[in-house]
Amino acid sequence: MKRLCRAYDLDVATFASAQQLFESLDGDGRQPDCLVLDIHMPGVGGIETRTQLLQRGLNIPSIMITGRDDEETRERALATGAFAYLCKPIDADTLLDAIADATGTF
Amino acid sequence: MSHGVLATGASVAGKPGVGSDEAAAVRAYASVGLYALLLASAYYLSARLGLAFRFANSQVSIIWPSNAVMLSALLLAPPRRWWLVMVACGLAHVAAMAGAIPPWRIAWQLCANAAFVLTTAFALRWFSVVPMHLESRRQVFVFTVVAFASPVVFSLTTPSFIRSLLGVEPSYSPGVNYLRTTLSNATGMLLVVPVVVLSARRWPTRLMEMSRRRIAEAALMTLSLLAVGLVVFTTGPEIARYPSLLLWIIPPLLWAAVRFGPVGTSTSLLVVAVLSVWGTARQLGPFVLRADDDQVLSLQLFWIVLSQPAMLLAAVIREREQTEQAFNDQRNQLAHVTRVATVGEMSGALAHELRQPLMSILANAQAAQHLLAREPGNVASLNEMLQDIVQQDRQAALVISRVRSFQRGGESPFEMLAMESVVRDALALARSAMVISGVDVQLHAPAGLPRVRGDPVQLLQVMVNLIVNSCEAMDARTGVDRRLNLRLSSNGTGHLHVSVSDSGAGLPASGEDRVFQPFFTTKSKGLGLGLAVCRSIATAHRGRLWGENNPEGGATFHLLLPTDPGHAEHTTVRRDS
Repeated sequence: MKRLCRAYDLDVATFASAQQLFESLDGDGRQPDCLVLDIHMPGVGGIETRTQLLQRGLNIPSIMITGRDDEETRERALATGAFAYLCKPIDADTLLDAIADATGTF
Repeated sequence: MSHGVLATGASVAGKPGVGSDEAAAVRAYASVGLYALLLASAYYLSARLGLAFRFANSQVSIIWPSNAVMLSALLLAPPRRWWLVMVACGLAHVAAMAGAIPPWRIAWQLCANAAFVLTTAFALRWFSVVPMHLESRRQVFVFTVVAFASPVVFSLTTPSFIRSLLGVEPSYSPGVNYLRTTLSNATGMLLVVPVVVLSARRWPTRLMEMSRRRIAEAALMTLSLLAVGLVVFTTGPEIARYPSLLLWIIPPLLWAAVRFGPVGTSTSLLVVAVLSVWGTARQLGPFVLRADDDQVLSLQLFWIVLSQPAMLLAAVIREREQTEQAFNDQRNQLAHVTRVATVGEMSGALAHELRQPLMSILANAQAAQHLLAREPGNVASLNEMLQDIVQQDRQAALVISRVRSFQRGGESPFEMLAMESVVRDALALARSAMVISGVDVQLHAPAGLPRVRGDPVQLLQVMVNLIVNSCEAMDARTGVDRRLNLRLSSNGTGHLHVSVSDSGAGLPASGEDRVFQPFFTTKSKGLGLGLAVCRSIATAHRGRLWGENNPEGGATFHLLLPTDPGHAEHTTVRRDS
């Protein structure tokens, strides 16, 4: 995923957990233009990560991805104001289009 | 195999590709001829043996085994070959008797014997004692009744009885004559027919299957039987002053009945009969009485009293073994069905697990395409992407092979295994279910835990079930940390203890043990058999499985497995005698 985005000249950082993301945001204070969050992660998942970010007042455009598509998950993800909800495996064009739309670039 | 040599002859004739039809026919005839010759020889020898064991001053033998040989041949052969049995035995009878008794008497015996044996064979077929296995109480009972009833009728037709009735042969009264003939034929059938028929049907294949341990045990049993038999029956007649010595023959016989089935038991009984006749004939052992006739009667009653309980015990043990085997087969089938059902319930999680590598493969491939279009010379990056694709593909293959081996049917042999690796395999299988539920797993497994003996697939099934159940129990609760703690420990009492502890909804208040009842379920999907089957697996491993609610919420399931290999003997081992 990281490699794919880099191939399209996007500046990408990856985090293994929500904790690492929070630490990075607290650290250098650089705010990304877009987040790609996996809903099903060990520990804190994508939806909860977004909720916690919103509580901190950070409304970063977010794309939710999941390997397990069901109506309830989709509703919960979109209820947090996620920009897009994509199911794995995700086609490169779909993902890049979503990122472009979210960041308003391209 | 059930029809012995005759059936083999027929199958040789029918086998394609053994040469021309003519050659095959010749071989079939040759094998039938050989069979007839063998049968006639067996009949001849047994008749000579019977003659050698005649009462003094009488035409009646202690035991008349040749009728039993003929009956055995009839029971082993299909009815269309019975004529051959009758002809072979008839000729052998004439050969054995010629010179010993006058021709008219031989002719009389031929007719009476043929009628007797044919009637008995028909009766046994009628009561479905054919094919004979003596592995059920019913068959032993019916065989015993027929083996007595037909001599009771037949003895009325023998020359010795009718002639003593007419006063032509006055050495015995008709009553004594009748009793003698009846008992010598009944004991002949009871002792000889089971050995011949069961051996012919079972030994050739069973001997090959016997393990070295079983052969050693059989040898030891035979030795103890021979030792006791020789001591009791062939040491001087003063041994009769210690009647309890005769009981020594019981333990080796019970050994045969319990461990070696009807074949071992009937063979042992025949050995006892031969030893006791041999000893008594040499005026040794406890059956030596003043009058020869009393010796014989006493011997016959001894055999009859000994053989029926032993054969019944062997049948009961065999019935029990068959029931146990059927129970084990059913348990294994049920375990397999529930494994398949578990995989079905986990299908969503497994799809998730597979989408992960698929996603990565697609992303890498598309990035590579893009890279090729923009800077085709960047081989290093391309190589990295290809390596990633290979690795992710292997990951996907691993998921599939894990599921396949979990779903495998049938029974795997018990083996020594480290429970920690079973638990790790279970965690790998249930990984997606845990990820989807957002469960945080901790595994505590100290080094140097003892190994357990068991079926790796079934123990894996227990662990997967417990883990998936815990995940589902935690799915039901929101707003709590979802923690799954797996703990392995050895309590020093010869058991390995595995506990699976969650922070889920807990067990129903109405009784923690109810979750182990078949068809009890709190899930919308699922059979409600998972935990019931897990408990039966634990029991089959001589272990225990139970669950309880935690004081701080959630539930803990405990699996206790014996670590002493001696205590975990495989319960489904087939006896091979």
